[in-house]
Amino acid sequence: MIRWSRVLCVLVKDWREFSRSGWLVGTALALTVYFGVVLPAIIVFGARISGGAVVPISIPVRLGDLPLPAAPEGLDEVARSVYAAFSLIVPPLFLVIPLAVSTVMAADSFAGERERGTIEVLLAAPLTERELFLAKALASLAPGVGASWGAFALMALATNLMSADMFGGWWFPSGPEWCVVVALVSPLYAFLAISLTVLASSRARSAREAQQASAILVAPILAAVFGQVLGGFAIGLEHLLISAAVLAGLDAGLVALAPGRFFSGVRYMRVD
Amino acid sequence: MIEVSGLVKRYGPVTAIEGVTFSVGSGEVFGLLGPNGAGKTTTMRIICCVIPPDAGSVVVAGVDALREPSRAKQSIGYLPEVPSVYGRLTVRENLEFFARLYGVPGGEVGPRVSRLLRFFSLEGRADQLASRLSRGLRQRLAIARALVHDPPVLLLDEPTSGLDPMSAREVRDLVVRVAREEGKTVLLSTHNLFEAEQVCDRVAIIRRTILAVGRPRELAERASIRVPVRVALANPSEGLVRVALSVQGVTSAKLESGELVAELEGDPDSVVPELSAALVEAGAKILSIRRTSSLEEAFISVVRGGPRGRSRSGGGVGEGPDVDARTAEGSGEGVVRA
Repeated sequence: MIRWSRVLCVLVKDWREFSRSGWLVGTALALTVYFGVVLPAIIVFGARISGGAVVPISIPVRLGDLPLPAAPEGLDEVARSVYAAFSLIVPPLFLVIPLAVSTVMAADSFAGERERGTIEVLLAAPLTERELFLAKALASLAPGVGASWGAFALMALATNLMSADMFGGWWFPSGPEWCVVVALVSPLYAFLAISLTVLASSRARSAREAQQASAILVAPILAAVFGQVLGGFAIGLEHLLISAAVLAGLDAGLVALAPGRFFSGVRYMRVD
Repeated sequence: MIEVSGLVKRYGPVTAIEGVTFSVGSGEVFGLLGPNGAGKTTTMRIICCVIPPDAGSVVVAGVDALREPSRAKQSIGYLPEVPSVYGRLTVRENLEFFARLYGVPGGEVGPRVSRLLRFFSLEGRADQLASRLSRGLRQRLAIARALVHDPPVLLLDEPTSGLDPMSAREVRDLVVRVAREEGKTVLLSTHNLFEAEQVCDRVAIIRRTILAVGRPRELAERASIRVPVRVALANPSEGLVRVALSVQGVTSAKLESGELVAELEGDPDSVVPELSAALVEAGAKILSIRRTSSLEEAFISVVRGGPRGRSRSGGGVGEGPDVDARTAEGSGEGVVRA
């Protein structure tokens, strides 16, 4: 049986620690502001300036020329390009937020606590491994998901304010795909990043070293972006739902594996 | 209060401890004394349920720690060897966090934390981040943290390791105060012989297994230790050597580089004053008297398993590769290292 009061106690402690680390808070804030304001500005004003070509010149494709079945009728080239960017490029890129923020938090919470030696007193406290893992995983998950949701709210506001004239009013989010990305895929992806970081933390000598394990999760994001931009495939609602199911399965598998590996690594980190 | 029986722990092919058995009575300060790698930390970590043993049993405050670790943990305050406070939390927040983690009722957390801050003289730093504390103050906070849920048993793993002599003395005094004033049972691991002698009621010498258990003085007597004493004299003479030999408890005496080197048998605390009084009465001008700890001698004798009654010249360096026994300069502390 999970004793939630103790889980909450560790979780609040971890948040308090995160909030006092300039590096951790800075990472979360910078990503939120970048994806919420800077990226939409680059896309919208880039499209306006270039007349619809917001991808690098070396890629011989104009975003507006890509098939966009859900795009509203009667958009000009610039608006169509902006619409394409927010439908094809930004959703996968958006997953960088939970990935980066939760990885940094999890590395600090698991590997960092091990590095600083404080994990020993937690293991000696009346907490089960499951309670301790749950507390720390939730503590790392919440800032990643919170940053995603914050960035999404900012992005919606900034995008609509900057491009309402092109679409004849507020238009973002462009479809239900965004809701699936933000509400489902993003937390599941963050949890995957946390589980991988916990696995790496069982062997890593420092929090920085543990962070590197989840770098592999950047690969699917890049594949989704370039695959769509180059016209290889288009990710629709059904693909996102399937991805969410796969992620949920991976998360469940890693949750069964990661805590045992981590605590075993911590318990036998020193022999006297 | 603590019953440890037949503990065995192996890390792959390496046997860290084997058949470790001892018991600690209620209110007692008990020292686990051994060189690095002797199994002190492994024993401590098993008792506080951080690692499971391969064999053996541990009972803490009447609770089987291997069957009911959660209940046993509630009775233990644990201070690991590495500093164990959260640097990004304030001193007060550190104590409050652990109070809540151990299930101290909400209404009691504040008063209990305030009392500990007073007891450990940390009131003025209550709202300071723990990372800004000196190593000595951090160790004080760590001991306060171990006590925050008012456990009957305190496990302290090398509590003065890495501290300067002043901070080490403060921590030792605190341990004694906690045991005497708070009535706690303390199990303390150390490789510092001076510390063991000063703080512990009883000591177990460990090297993979328990080699000897007893009061520090008993151990010295049991090992028939002859304690070397060096008396620096302004006027050394053979006459003073004869005077020294006439004192009861002095088994040998000779002059060495202007110093009178005597070997004592029995309790050095009673023989040394008698020896110095006899020398002064005979006209000796004493510049200084140095002696090694009798526990140090007992330790070396037990750990090496060497011949009983083996004598060494005072304050020297151990001859073997395993043990380096020396008198720490300025602090008078006997330290054993491996």
